[in-house]
Amino acid sequence: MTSVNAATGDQETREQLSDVDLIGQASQGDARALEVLYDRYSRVVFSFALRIINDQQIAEELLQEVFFRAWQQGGTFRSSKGTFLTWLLSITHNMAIDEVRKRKRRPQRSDSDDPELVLAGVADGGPSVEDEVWSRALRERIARALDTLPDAQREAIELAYFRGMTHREIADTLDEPLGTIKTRMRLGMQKLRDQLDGSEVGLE
Amino acid sequence: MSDLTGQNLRRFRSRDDDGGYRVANDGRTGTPRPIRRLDVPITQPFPMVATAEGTPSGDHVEDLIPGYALGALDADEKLAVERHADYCARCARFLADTRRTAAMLPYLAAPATPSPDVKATLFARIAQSSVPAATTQADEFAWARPVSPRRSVTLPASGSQPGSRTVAVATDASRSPRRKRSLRQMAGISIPVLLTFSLLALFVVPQLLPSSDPEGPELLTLLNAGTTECTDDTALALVTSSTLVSACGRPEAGTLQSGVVHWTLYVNNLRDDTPQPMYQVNIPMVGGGYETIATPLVVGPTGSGEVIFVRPENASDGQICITERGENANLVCQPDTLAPAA
Repeated sequence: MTSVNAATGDQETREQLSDVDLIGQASQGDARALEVLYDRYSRVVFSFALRIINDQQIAEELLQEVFFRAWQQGGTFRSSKGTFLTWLLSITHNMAIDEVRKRKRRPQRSDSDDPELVLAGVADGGPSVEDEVWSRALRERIARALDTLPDAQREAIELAYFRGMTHREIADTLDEPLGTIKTRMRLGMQKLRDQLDGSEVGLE
Repeated sequence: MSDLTGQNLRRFRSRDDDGGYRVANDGRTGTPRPIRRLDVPITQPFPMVATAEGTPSGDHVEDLIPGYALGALDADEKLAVERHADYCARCARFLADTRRTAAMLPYLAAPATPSPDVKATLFARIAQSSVPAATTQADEFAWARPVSPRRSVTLPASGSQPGSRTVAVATDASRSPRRKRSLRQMAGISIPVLLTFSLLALFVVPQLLPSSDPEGPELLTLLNAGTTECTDDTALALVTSSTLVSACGRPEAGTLQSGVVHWTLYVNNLRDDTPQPMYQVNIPMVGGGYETIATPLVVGPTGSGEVIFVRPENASDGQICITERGENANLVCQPDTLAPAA
């Protein structure tokens, strides 16, 4: 019983640790430290992956790969370059976009390539997790900021970030000049930055 | 953009055998020994610090930066942005701002909860991953593990320039179809890293110790170029890089010295059977021989570790050699004691 209590206490102690401390411990082989990080962020990672991939099973596989990669390569995380969560989401984005691009090379059901699904997702509801960084309030604020953009700018950003398209591919898809797409992205991101200025609490 | 402040400085210490910490380039615990100033000519500026509003490498790249932050650039465009931002403060600031904005986009996703099975599967896999590679053939990271846990590694120092350099350690598994498939899947790989790999591959001759040598410490894995993965920010493989501590940095007394070139050595694939293997880094010197960096290279159970040290004076362009710790360790780095790789 004593050892059980001690183990429970150890885990409770871990839960008080910062992300940086936890990934440091995980990179030294402490799987329980990674477990705390998983409990903190698995939903964020999964939600993001699902948003890009639009397939529950593949998003779950990707979630596992993201955390396995964090386990194996957590020693390369640099807190000077951003938060652990930003790092984790960057890995998620890269892996998810890889998957999207692979799927593009394979025959797909046409509904998964419908841009309307991506754009509609901004306003999707879902279970509110108020204590999470990605709470509904934050999500809605980002969605509102995105909604202030002209449709063409928002579309360019969405196709790039959530569809994994290069700006050349976007130009081809929309039948617009490449320079126009670049300009839309630049103006859109600048406006989004202005709209979200001061919203980054907890993100960086 | 690496700076050498705050938590980064923690990397300049590594745990010693007794669990205490010793300072880089000092084999003793206690008061840090001042790091020697080097007379290494600085032939290019610190590569990751923007130094001016203008740029020596072409026009500003503001039209490409949003695409960079959103992951929408082709490889050559991405490389152009990275090169330019290294030297252009204006574009570096815009890039940082834009990436910060892009980093908020994931939170647009509607909340969703994964199946509990994912966690169970993940941690079962993690538990299994600590066993030797031969028993974990089913996972895609198998290529990243040594086929034999006790092989050799030499790393090209090739360092007449203090600029960044990158090398990779791989194993015999690098020849496997699984690894080739994994490499093809690495869409996030950084072009500068790949280019550096290609150049360094010219220097690298994988070599093994005679396995019959009962005295010398064994080397640990077989070097090959090209095994790495990168996110936008991080090279996830063995990387060495030179860091010139600039005058505007905040060097910690006794560990970093302004104007001195430090090398950062990241390794992986060095996992051994022992609970916490300890390695040492041997630097080839002009005129022959090796200088052993006193700070041990501590490698975790996953086979990864890192150490930062001052580039020794008179370091040559030969190959850095990593061995197990031991009095005769750097003897095994001598070319005439090495046999060609199988």
